[in-house]
Amino acid sequence: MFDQLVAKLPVGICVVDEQYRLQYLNAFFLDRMRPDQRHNYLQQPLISIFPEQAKFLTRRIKSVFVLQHPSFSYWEQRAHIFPFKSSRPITGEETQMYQNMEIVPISGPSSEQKLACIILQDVTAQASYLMAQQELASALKQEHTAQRKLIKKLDSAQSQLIQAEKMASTGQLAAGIAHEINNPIGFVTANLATLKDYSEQLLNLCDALADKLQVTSPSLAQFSAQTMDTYHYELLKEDISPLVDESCEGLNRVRDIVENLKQFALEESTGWQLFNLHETTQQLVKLVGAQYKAPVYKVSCNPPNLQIFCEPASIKQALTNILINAAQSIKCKGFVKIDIRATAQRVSIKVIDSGVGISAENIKKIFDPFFTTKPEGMGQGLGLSVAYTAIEKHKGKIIANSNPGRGTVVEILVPVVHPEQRHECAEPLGGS
Amino acid sequence: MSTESVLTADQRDALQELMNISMGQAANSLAHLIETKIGISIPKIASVTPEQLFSMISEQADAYYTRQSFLGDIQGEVMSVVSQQGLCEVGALLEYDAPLSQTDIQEIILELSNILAGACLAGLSAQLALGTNLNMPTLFSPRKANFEEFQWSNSLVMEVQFDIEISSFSMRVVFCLDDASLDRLTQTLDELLG
Amino acid sequence: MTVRVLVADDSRLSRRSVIKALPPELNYAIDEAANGKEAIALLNKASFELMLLDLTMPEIDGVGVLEYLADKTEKPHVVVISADFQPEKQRIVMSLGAAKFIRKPLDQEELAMTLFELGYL
Repeated sequence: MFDQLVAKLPVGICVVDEQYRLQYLNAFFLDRMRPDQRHNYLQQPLISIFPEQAKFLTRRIKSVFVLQHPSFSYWEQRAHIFPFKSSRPITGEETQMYQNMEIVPISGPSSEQKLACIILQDVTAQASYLMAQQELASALKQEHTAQRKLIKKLDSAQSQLIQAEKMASTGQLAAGIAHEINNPIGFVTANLATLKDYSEQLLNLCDALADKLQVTSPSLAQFSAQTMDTYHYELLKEDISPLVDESCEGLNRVRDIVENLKQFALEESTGWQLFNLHETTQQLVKLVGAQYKAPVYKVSCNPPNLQIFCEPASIKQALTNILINAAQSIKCKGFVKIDIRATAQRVSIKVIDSGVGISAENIKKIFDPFFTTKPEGMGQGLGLSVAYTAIEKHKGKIIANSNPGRGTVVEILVPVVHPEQRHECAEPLGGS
Repeated sequence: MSTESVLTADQRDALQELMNISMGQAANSLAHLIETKIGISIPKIASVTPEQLFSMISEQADAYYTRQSFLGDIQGEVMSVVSQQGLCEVGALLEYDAPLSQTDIQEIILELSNILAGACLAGLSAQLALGTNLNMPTLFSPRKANFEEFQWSNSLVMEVQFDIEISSFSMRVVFCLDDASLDRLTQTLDELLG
Repeated sequence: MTVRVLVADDSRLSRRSVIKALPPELNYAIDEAANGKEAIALLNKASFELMLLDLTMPEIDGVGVLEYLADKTEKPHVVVISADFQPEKQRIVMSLGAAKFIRKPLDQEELAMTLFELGYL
């Protein structure tokens, strides 16, 4: 009865003697062995039938004989000791059986005979479940990491939005201030012109008086000359006119800047309208050039004073971002060229710089949100992504090409839209 | 740590001697298997709180840990603290090829724990004519939190240390007994002391 | 005749079992030491014919006691009774002049045989 029981046990039983020769194998073992091995295995060395883990098996069995103490092996450390197939070769995912093994010392029929009994457990189901769990856990962990990253990006996007909101209100504020500044600039300019006149007349008056005294009263003339010297009359006379001229010129510049600022900021209007691309680009170049002084800027437009029907705010935003990138790419010397051309179908705006360029690897990613090569905190990586969105809104395209070390060309292509087409907007480029 | 409350001086002395004999057998077995000399310490016997057990176990930096339970006439758990230092040399003695992989290391730790803890327990049980069976060891990492959640307040622990002379390797084996087993043990010791 | 014996072992149980295992045919005058230090102190104070020595002891271990005795001319027969019976340990002990190595747990017959070999019986 026990023979039958052992033979039918759902675990493998293998008994070897001190020379590691097979004394017994139960059905669990036999069923899984090659057909030609299933006979005449008794007294064969264990490792001649199972050579796969010969060294390990020998060592462990030796330990059991020497120590007379069980030895254990787990699938986590050594999955496949015996070359057995999975218990579910057809439906299972694992092809090889995962095994836990225990070797226990036993004694033979004569109690002096020392034997070792190998008990083999098929733990494939457990192992595959556990491994699946581990995979799941690591997948979850990865996802978690990705989410954390995303959350961080969202945080940064939020602060970017807040920043943008601030900028917008600052822009409006600037426009308001610009308007206020215009009034004083007006009267200061007028007064300055009058002052220029007045000062000339005063100088003439002084000269006339001095001339007359020279002739009529030498003593008074001497007094007059001394007084004029004391008050550095000659210096004043020489300086006063260039000073006033310089001030007028300065005022003109202030007026120009305020005018640019006003135009740029005030056109916050979101709707579609006709828009002077040439002029706006020139204003933009002045504003950007004031901050980034390294490059030389050049704007060309064909036809000049090109008007396009668009949403000015977003086009300006896109152009600004591209222009700033181009300007920043130039470290000490170089140029930024904006080349605008229009055909009947479309408008092309090329921004060409002679800056550091963008590597082939990076150029694929420049329109991705949050992609930036700037140091942490120096850029949000949103500029070109915003530009991309803006141009997409106009059913346009934006293409970047770069030669690292030589420069970069970013081309914006937008279809020409006529005001009467406004509501259906534009056909996508290349659509017809 | 105290022993007075749990064991009489005689009981403690006897237990220490039995452990000493068991360790000698364990060391001899392992020495025979890996053909090198094993140093053994004088066994320490104490009654500890979980807190104390934790600090006993974790006082050594750079260690691996295993635990295994034993059942039978006396029941409890054995924790082994295996030094990371010198493990390569031991691996070589156990005929592992260098460099050791992570799973090789795990296997060696489990095997060493099993051999030494097993031999100690077998020796102790045999001398006291108690039947015990050691279950398979598993890896674990002691975290203080685990120890604070233990269901007992005091336990008898027996700590022994093995060193392998040719390397800086050392290993400590800590036996912990549950209360019922402690009663059984003291009873058996008393019989032995006559 | 009375044999003067020194039993050195840190375990009281072990000393007792050693003493109990001494063959009853002889009379003994027995001193006990609980570690190597005590043993050396006693060896200095009195002379012994036979010493039954444990190895694993605190303060000074059995090997230490053997080393102490190594260059002495007047010394007892030392029988080492130890649990640490690794071959290497036995070799060291014997090279230090021990007369015999007996494993723990102590077998009464083995002790009697040893005393016979040493000429006490």
